[in-house]
Parts: sequence; structure tokens; C-alpha cells
Amino acid sequence: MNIVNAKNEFPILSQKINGKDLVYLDNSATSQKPQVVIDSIVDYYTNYNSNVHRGIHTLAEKATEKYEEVRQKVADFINAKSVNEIIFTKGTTESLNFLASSLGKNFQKDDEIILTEMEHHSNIVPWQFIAKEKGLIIKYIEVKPDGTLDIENLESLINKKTKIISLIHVSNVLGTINPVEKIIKRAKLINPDIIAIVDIAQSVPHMKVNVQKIKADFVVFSAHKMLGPTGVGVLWGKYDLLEKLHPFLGGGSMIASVTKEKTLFAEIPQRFEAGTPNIAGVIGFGTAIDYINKIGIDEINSHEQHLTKYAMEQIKQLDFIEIYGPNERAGIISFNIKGVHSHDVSAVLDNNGIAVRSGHHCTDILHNKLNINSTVRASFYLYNNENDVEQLVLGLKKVNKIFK
Amino acid sequence: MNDYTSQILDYSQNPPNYGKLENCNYTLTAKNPSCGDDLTIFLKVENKIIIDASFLADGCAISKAATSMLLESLIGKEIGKIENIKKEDVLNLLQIDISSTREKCAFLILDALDTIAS
Ligand SMILES: Cc1ncc(COP(=O)(O)O)c(C=O)c1O
Repeated sequence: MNIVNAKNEFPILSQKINGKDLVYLDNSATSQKPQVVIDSIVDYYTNYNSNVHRGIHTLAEKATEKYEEVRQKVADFINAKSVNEIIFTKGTTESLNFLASSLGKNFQKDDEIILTEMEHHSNIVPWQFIAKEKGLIIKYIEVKPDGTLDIENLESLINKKTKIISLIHVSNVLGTINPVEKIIKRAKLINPDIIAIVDIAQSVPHMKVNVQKIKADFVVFSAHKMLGPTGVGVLWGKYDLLEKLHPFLGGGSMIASVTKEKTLFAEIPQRFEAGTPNIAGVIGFGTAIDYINKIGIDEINSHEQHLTKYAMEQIKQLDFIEIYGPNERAGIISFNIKGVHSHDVSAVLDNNGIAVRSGHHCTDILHNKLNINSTVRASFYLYNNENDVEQLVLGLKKVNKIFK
Repeated sequence: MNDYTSQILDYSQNPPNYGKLENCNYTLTAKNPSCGDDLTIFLKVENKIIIDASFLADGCAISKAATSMLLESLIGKEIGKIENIKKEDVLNLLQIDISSTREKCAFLILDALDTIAS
């Protein structure tokens, strides 16, 4: 498979929007799906739709086998030690809510949680819920004006009461690649009992993430940002920590036995997957991982790095634009046209067939910190090319002309 | 399709009634959390008649133009009649088709006016 021709394999990308060829640059919100992923979902519903882990019949066995194969693919993709460490959820948001509510059960008043100012709301709100319930303290690693984390005084934030450090790997706004391995190492030096959670929703679709190497205890991410379907996510955790976790949801599939008095839980990972899961979604996700592997994650990364540098160079030449975040970054560029609201920028771009995101991208705290109301965000994936960047730059010039 | 008619651009870039009103009787606010828009309007009322109106906003061109035009149209009207203002009134002033995603922008002013009862 060849990255240069990848665009042809994504049927949605060949359409026209407002009479113009679609230029899809909203990949941080969600990625598009290649035909093979769509086909694998249709194949499941057409040929072996059936519940998993339950029936003793041919279809159920095939569905279960396919579903479990994906667990192994995910484990290999992030270099998990064991396939049993992979838990399927609805997405990053559900994974984080699961962690906050289950880990939080054991916390005491005045225990502390460390987040960063660049977290997505999904890594803030669940912790605020549990903090309110238990009387916990949330502290934030600050974001510097250049869009990187201020970790110089990390040690002053952490103490024996710190239970959790939960942080984003790649910022969904600034594209900042946080040195998570270094941060976790330093945090655990002060307090080895800290549980480290990394939100890899914006990194794992675009770069090699090795969960053992970054020294995380848990990671969370979503299939839909990496060519897979919506409604599927992953929670990976070290096995010994998963053993201590209380299930998030109770019901079918997660039990060993149920009597009127009590329930014995099933083994891990079934213990954490109550109810009928998103079987079609998981199977589609497996095909997405195969697709990424065929092209190669490193190949994808260098392609996106090239596009990002190209785009940064071009956009920087436009004196009416302010870019936020560091030079060294993943394929995400947030900016504003001076004096024009981000909504108006994206509306005019849309008239020209270009899809970008505008708003605060679920990061109010970060936008407040940077003292901006909203931003326009262009984000790349493997199927984007230099022409997409050139169309974006032309579109931005048009916006500026209209609002001059 | 062009949402950015010269009228909308004029009203959004140089709204004649932009700024804070001193000695006003009503200060009303509305927010649009999905895009971060933030609107404050000021109404000055004498003998139940709106005699002046202005606004401050961090918002897009559509929301600013809609707010500015609607507030202009309120001058001389009875404060008690504010409740009767409808979406169509805003659309008649804007004279463009509003897509579903921009409705929240165009009608933010109505959210602010709605708070007068509470
Ligand atoms: C960094 C980050 N974390 C979490 C999320 C939430 O993911 P989801 O909406 O798939 O649960 C997103 C996506 O919007 C994200 O970019």
C-alpha cells in the first residue's frame, strides 16, 4: 500500500462540497474511513452478525473469534504486555470516566490529582466529579506562552498525597508533543505510588506509542480518530492495576456467577465489558489497525511531519495570521485571522470545500490561559497532501480579503 | 452561497451601537458554549419605551450583525413587546439563509432578550 495513493481509498474524500473538491482538514475531530474498514463492518452484519462470548453456534464463534483477534491487534499496536490488558469501551471519554470513578473509590479527602492546563474536557470533568464527591484537590501543570508544559517546577506540585497524574500526550489544539515519559518518571521519583494515565487519543493515530516505554499505568484512546468507527475506544492498563479496579458497569458478560446476595466477577478483560459490546465497531477497528500497519505508522508520521512543516512555512508568511503553539509539533495547527472570528473563517473555508474546525475544541482552560476566545484548527492525516495545504492557504487569503 | 453580504460585513465590523451604555436599565447576557460566543446587551428604557440599546460581544460576524440590527430595530418600541420578537424578525433583518449550524449565532441575541423575564 502506498501513502501517495491513500486518498483514493477513502470514498468520502472524492466528493465535492459547495462545488469544490473536498479538502478534509478536521482529522483531530475524527478521521475518515477507508473502504476496507467500511467493508469489514458490512461483512460482519451481512455474514456473521451474532453476539459474542455467549452462543455455542457457528456464527457466534466466528464473531467472538474476530472480536478477540482485534484485542490482540490493539495489544500489539501499543506494545501491551498481554492481550488481557486491553479493554474495549465507547471511546476516550468513557475510558476516562471509568478510571476516575473506579480509581476514585479508594481516595481519601485531600488526596491530590495532577492534570495539565491543556487537557481535553474529557480529562477534566470526570476528575472534577470525583473531586467534589470525595473532597480531592486538583492541581494543574501550567502551559507556557509557547504552548509547552511548564515542568520546571513539577516537583513542587507532587507530594505523598498525589494519587493520580493524568495528562494528554499530544495537545488536540496546539499539537504540542508532551514529554510524558520524562514527566511520569519524575513524578514517580517523588511518589512511586502515583498512577500515571496518558490520553493518547491524538498521538496513537499518528506516531508509534509504546505504552511500556512511556511508563504509563493506563492509556486511553478512540478508534474513530484512527480510521476506525465511532463508538469504540480502548482502555489499556497494567494487569496488576486492572485487578484492583472496581468494574464501571455491571450486567451481563462481566460476571462469573450471580446469586441473590452477591456477584462474582468474570476474569479480566470481560469483567470490564458489561453488556453486548460494539462488535461491528471493534471489527472495523481491527481492519483500521491493519490498514495503518500496512502503510506503517512511521511512514504516516513522517508524511504528516512533512505536511505540517510545509503548512507552517506557508501560513507563517501570511501576516494576517496568528499561529498558536510550538514549532516542534504533531500535525495540528491552530490559528486565528486577526480581527475575524474563527466561525467566520471556517464558514468561508467551507464555501471553498475546506473542512476545518473552529471553536474552543473542548479546551476552555487552555483557551482562557492563552487569552483567546476561539481558534481555527487544521489537522492532517495520512491521506492529506501538499495540494490540501495549498488550498487551505488560498482559502485563508480569500477570508482575509472578504473581511479586510 | 454568500453569508457575508456587504450589509452583514458593515454591521459586524463597525456596529453603530457597539459599546457599553451608561445608566442603562437592563444588562442582559447570553453565551454560546459551543463556539465560545459571549454577548452582553444594554437597554435604556423611559416610560416603558426603549430609547437606547447597545452591546458588547465576542462573536462571529453573523451573531454581531444580527445583534446590532435587531437592537437598532428595537429603538422606540415598548419594552413589554420584547417577548414577541421571533426568529423570523432576525432573519428578515439579516436577509440571508441561515444554515442549521449558524442558527445559534444568529439567534444569540434572542437568548439574551429572553432573560429579561427572569
Ligand atoms: C485529546 C483528546 N482526548 C479526548 C477526546 C475525546 O474523545 P472521544 O470524544 O472519542 O471520547 C478527544 C477528542 O475529541 C481528544 O482530542
